[in-house]
Amino acid sequence: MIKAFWYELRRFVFSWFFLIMLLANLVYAWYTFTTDIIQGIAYTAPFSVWSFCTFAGKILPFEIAAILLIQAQYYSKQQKTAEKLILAAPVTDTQIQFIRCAVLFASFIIFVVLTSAVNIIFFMCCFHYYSFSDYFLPCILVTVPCFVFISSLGSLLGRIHQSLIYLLIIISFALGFAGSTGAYDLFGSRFFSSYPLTLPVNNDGEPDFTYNVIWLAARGCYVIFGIIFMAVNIRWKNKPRLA
Amino acid sequence: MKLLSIYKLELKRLMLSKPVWLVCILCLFSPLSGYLYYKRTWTGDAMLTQLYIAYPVLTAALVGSLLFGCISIYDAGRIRSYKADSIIASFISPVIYSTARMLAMLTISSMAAVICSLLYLPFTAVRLGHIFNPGFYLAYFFIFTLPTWCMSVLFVNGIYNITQRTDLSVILYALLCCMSLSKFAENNYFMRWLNPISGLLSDYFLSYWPLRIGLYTRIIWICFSAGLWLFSLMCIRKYQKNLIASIWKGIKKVYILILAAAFIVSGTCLWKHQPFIDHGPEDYDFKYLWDDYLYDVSYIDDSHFEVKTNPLHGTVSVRAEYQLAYPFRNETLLALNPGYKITKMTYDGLNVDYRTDKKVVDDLCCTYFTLPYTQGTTLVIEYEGMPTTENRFQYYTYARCIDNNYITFGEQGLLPELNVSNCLASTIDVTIPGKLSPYLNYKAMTDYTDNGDGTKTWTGKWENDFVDFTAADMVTDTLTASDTDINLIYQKDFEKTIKDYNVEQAICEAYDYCLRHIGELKYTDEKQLAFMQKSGVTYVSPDVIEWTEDYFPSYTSATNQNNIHKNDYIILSVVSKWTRYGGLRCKNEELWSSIGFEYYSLYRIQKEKYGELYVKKYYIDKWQEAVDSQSKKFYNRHPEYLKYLPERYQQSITAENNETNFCARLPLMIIKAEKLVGSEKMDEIIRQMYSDCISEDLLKQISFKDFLDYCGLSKEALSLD
Repeated sequence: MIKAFWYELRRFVFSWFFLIMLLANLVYAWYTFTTDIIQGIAYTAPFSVWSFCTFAGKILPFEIAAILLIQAQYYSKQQKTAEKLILAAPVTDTQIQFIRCAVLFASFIIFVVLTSAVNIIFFMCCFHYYSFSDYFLPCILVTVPCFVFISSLGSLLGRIHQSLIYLLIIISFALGFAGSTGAYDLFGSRFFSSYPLTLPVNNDGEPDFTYNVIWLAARGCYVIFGIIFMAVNIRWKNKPRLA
Repeated sequence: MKLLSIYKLELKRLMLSKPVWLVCILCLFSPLSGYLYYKRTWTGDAMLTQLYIAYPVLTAALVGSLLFGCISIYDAGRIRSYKADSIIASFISPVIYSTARMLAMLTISSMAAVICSLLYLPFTAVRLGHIFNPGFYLAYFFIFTLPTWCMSVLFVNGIYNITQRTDLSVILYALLCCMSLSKFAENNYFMRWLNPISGLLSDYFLSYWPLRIGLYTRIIWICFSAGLWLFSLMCIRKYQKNLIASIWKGIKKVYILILAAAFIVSGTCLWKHQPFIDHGPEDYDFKYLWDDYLYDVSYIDDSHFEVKTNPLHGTVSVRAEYQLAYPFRNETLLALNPGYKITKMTYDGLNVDYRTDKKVVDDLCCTYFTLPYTQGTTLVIEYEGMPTTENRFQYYTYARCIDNNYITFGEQGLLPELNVSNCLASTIDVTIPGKLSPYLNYKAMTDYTDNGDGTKTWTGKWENDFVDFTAADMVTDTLTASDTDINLIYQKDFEKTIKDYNVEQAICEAYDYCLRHIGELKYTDEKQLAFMQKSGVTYVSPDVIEWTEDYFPSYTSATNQNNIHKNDYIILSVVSKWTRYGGLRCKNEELWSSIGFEYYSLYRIQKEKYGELYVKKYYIDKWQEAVDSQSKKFYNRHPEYLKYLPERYQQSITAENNETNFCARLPLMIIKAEKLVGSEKMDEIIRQMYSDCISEDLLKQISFKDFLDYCGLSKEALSLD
């Protein structure tokens, strides 16, 4: 199964499609960084955790769109015709789903790491700022629940029809750019740019980074829903078709 | 015809191709990003035509070109990627095949442009309402999008024909795009082939200058792209030969080579000799022509100018006749706008030799001539052309234009200047379209003769300097404020906004306030002040204030960055007469500027009219919010990080800070001083400062320290923290 995972990952990562998606994400990440984040979000420093979380939230819609486009290829006509051959292999349907999830997750991590590197390299080179350990956990909390929720919803919708995934891309863009500022904001950019304004400031004039309980609960809900969708997807077995 | 039949096949194939459909649909959506992407202008508002015609169309040109470039590369590399190129080359000539493919893609992009323009037409018509001009909209759309999309296809096909490799083509095309998108081309109308710029459009003064320059730049780049594509036809590989051998075989078709060279050479010539922007320095060099020349002591008795405008071409032809009291004996210098070409110069009927220096100094080109040694009296100079815009200002606006609806020549835009003492009185006859009302030096002209062909010739005269000539469908309202006549000149359609915003009342009240609370003005001659509406660049002098339509924002939305609303700008421009040309001129220091007094006076004027609560809500609170926000910003709390940023960011942060300091912090400080010394004492202080400065020397400027001395306060007492 590990071998199958590596083959699948290599198939996607070393394709023109992935490269172009990555390039588009990097360009958008650079653009967001140089227009918004560099000035500091909610009167905090550009290298504060608040700014980094806002940055992660702002580029998330594009990364999710890239993941959904990769996922859409799993439900294309070509893939469906090849499905018969794949099912003939000694792998269960559950294992195939796991491999696909793992590939999507690995691709997503590649996107997140490389786009965050845009931020980090700038801070290291220009501001000589090197303490990035605080970014790790918030970044995971911002990106992973969103990925789990959207990708499992995508796989469920893809089973019904491939074009529903494209619809989901449009919906996720709409949510990303016109979403709410509340704690249940799926992408988090609007939440992180408004929540620090409600907090008291420390001696430095900036609010310390704290987790909002409701936001954490919302993230937990997204993960739970994502797992439920994934479970439904795995249980929804493909009936073997007789030739 | 083989080409025609293959072209039809290719067209059919492209129209059935899914990627091409996707690209066309994305191109149809591309103007949408133009509606959202561009932020509002500095006044917190933008002209409707700018928002709903210019930005969507220019974005569509950029995005559509990129999309059609990508699909052309994809389509061009298709045959090679399926390894079918040798098979196809065996029964169709590769040249004919690639030409047919290119023509089919051009057809698709043209059709997409047509559909896109018609798709957005109803929405634009509804949004613009009565100022919508369908001809202008369609012309603007087709001039900017259609050629840009076509030249992208031509470039890509040309590059692919030369390289025959998709990856190399992508890189070269990307380089070409970067050239246009780069910082070097930022303010250059001619280098930007992919993302064209047009001048700022005006809702009320419709000008075809953006269309003319847009068409000119598109023609230049179509020539370049067609030349490249024609050259690349010779590079198409035949009989499995390499690039050099293919070119050697291709040269035998000499007509292609000649055509390609002709296109490229004509594009280069068009670029080099463009008539729109002068070929002077790019940065403001603070060089003034008349600093280097002494005035000759010869006198001109009388001068008369006959001006004929040609709004269709945007050109003008002038006949200047000077009656000399004493003939000039030395070499005389004639300075003229670089766009004009002197066609004839005679002295009492005899031709005079002249030489023109192409170098542009201070927006002028010099012509040198020496008069023949005769006792003559009449010097006649005839010239014509299109007045150019200054390169060194890099505005996106055009100070001079000649159109059916709007004719304006600012200073140095129409008449020549000689290095001789000018006469006191000059006369002018101007021929302009019949429906326009002309204003000479901001006064309405009255004498005219109807020429019968839709034009009128207006006669006027002026003394001393010629400053401005503007003609449009304008109306003058004369207001009286104290003992001064104020002429408010505006475009006829703007009347509704003038009435809705009570502009006339606002101007009179502001003027009265300043006279009462600040002091008397010093006038050069008669007590008259003109407020004239213009489009684009505005000029302010002691007797004149030019204003533009974006002084009265029609949106009071959250994006209104300066929190300016209603009549604030026009009141500020009235007050600026006292703060810039009167005695309240302040030194420009980090936390001190004349702008502070302008905003403080605005606050006092509005307080007198609307009361304490109104000014607190719309001015004090907003200014305080801006000041608080400024203190909280990261780079203001930690200025040591500012030096790590690239220069561009540093400059924008400094500019933002300056704006908050002068427009919000400083007025609040002056209001705090007023609270500390008392309102009546503050009026007295301002009156004292004003009269001290205006009586001594108008060059004296008030510094922050002077103000503190007058008030008897310390710097710490006025601090807002």
